[in-house]
This record gives sequence, structure tokens and C-alpha cells, in this order.
Amino acid sequence: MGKVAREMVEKAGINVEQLLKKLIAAAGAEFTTFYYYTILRVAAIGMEGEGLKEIIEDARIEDRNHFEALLPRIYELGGELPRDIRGFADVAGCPDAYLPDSLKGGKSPTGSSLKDLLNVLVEAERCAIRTYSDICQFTQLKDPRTYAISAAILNEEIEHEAWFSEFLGEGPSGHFRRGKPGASPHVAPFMTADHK
Amino acid sequence: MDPVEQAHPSGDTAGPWERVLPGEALAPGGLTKVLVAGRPVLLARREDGAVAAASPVCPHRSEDLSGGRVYMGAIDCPAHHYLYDLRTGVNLYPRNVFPADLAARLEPLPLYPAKEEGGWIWVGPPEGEP
Repeated sequence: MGKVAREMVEKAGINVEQLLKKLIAAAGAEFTTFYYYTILRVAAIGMEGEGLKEIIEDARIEDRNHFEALLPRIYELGGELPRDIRGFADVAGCPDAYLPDSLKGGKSPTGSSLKDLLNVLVEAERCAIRTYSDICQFTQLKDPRTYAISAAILNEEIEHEAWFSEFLGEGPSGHFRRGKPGASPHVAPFMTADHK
Repeated sequence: MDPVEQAHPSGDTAGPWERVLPGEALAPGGLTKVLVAGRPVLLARREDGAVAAASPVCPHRSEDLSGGRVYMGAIDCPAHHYLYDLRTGVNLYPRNVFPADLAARLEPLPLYPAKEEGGWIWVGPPEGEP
């Protein structure tokens, strides 16, 4: 734990236990989303699904990166991950991103089933945007380190939403794909392990 | 805030309505928790200005919804970001993306009748109660 780091946040008026609850929930959501996006990426096959595969992979790896970036902040503030991974999944701050019924049995996404897949993805990203908007507002001008990490993650979640919403015909975002899968251009500076 | 009053605004006779909060105390997008007939009730003002009253307890994991946000006509639970329509109480998310068997298990958020009249927000009894 970073004793002074925590004290400064407390002195700024933040309820650190409440903040830790938010950060652990966010980390849980990233971890479970990484798992579910693996299943969704596997399902992105066929003439129409294949075009989605790469951006699902970008979002999947970047969500894992978000977990990695949040982890040290949780421990610096005196928190810890739940001992049991089942408990961790239970406190995840967003619902599970299940494979839609229409893609059961290895069907190739097309037409309405492709839309079902995209809706799972875009709604998961929108949940993440609400999560990090909340943490940013909670920490703004009081906890600059947590704010900076959360704002970096928020930047990437907003991009993820835009990628999937473009496929849903909701208009252009002006983004282009990552140079390599899961590059995390915003979050990489906060990853303590080597990330190249 | 004035003490809660029981009354029948607009001549309503369906049951006691309680005057619970000055309308100006709840801005668009605002949430607050009040006591009505001894029980906690969540008041929300939707972005379109309409008021809603609901149970403050999320049907998913019993989290306190008063720490949440009004989001596109819905209440966004602060714990897991489940969304409930403030007009109907129906779960909007993750119901719209969950497999059918899991979506069917998502409980609605209980609502109370609510109205704004004479500069006050009034809350009526839950449906089925006198």
C-alpha cells in the first residue's frame, strides 16, 4: 500500500473504501469482459463475421490491459482483489457479455444474428463508458492518479463503442484500426509491466 | 422541506397521496431518497422533466439506487449498471442483450405513482395497495 498516496486521497475528501469498491468492480468487469469477448471473437466467423474479428480482438486485449492498469492502483490505495475468482466475477461492475442465442451452435453471424452480436459488444462498451465516467467524476481534482488512469481507460472505451456502433450504422467516428492488436494507445503508459 | 402531508390532489380518490418534496428541489437528471409512509422511496426527474418514484433497492443485488444516475429515461444502478425504465420499471439493460432464459429472470423495478402539482412532488400508494 502507498501510505502517503492513500492519505492524500483521503485528505482530498474521497471516501477511499467507496473508491476501492468502484475500482474493484471496474477491474472485475474488464476481466470478465476479456473472457466473454474471447467467446464473441471466436463466434465472429463467415463472410460478415470475419470483418468484426479484428476489432473484437483489439477491444478484448485492451480490456485485459485495463485490468492490468487498474490493478496497482487498487493495491496502492490499500485494497485487494477478492481471494476467489468467483467472488471477483460476482462483483464485476457490468453484466456478462454472453454469446447471443442466435449464434448458438457455431452459426455464422449474418443479418439479425450479426446485429445481436454487435449489440452485445456495443452495450458492453457503453456500460464501461458509464463506469469510467463515474470514476472520473468521483476523483476529479481530488485523486489525480486514479483520475488519469480512469480517463485513459475511458478514452479507449469510447473508441471501442465507436468501432461497434459504426457497424450498426450509427454513423462514422473517424477512427482507424490499431497498428497492432490491443495497442492501448491511451492506457499503455499506465501499465507497470513491459507493454510494447 | 415542509412535513409530508397526505392529501388527494386534483380530487383523486384512489388512495392517499403524500406531498414529499418541492418540485424545484429536484433538477432534471436528479435523484433523491425520501420517506413515504415510513418507507424509503427514490424520486427521480427524467431528462424530459417528468418525475418518477420507485423503490430505491435494485432488484438485481439490492444495491442502493440513490447513488446511481438518470440515464436516457432510465435509472442506472451504480453497482452493475443495470438500467430500469423510469416509466415502466422494466429492465432495459442487460435484458436487451441477455440470452432469453436469463433475460426472463430479470425482475422489474417497483414504481410508485408520482405527479407534480402546485409546485410539489406527490407520491401515491403502490398499485394494489389502498
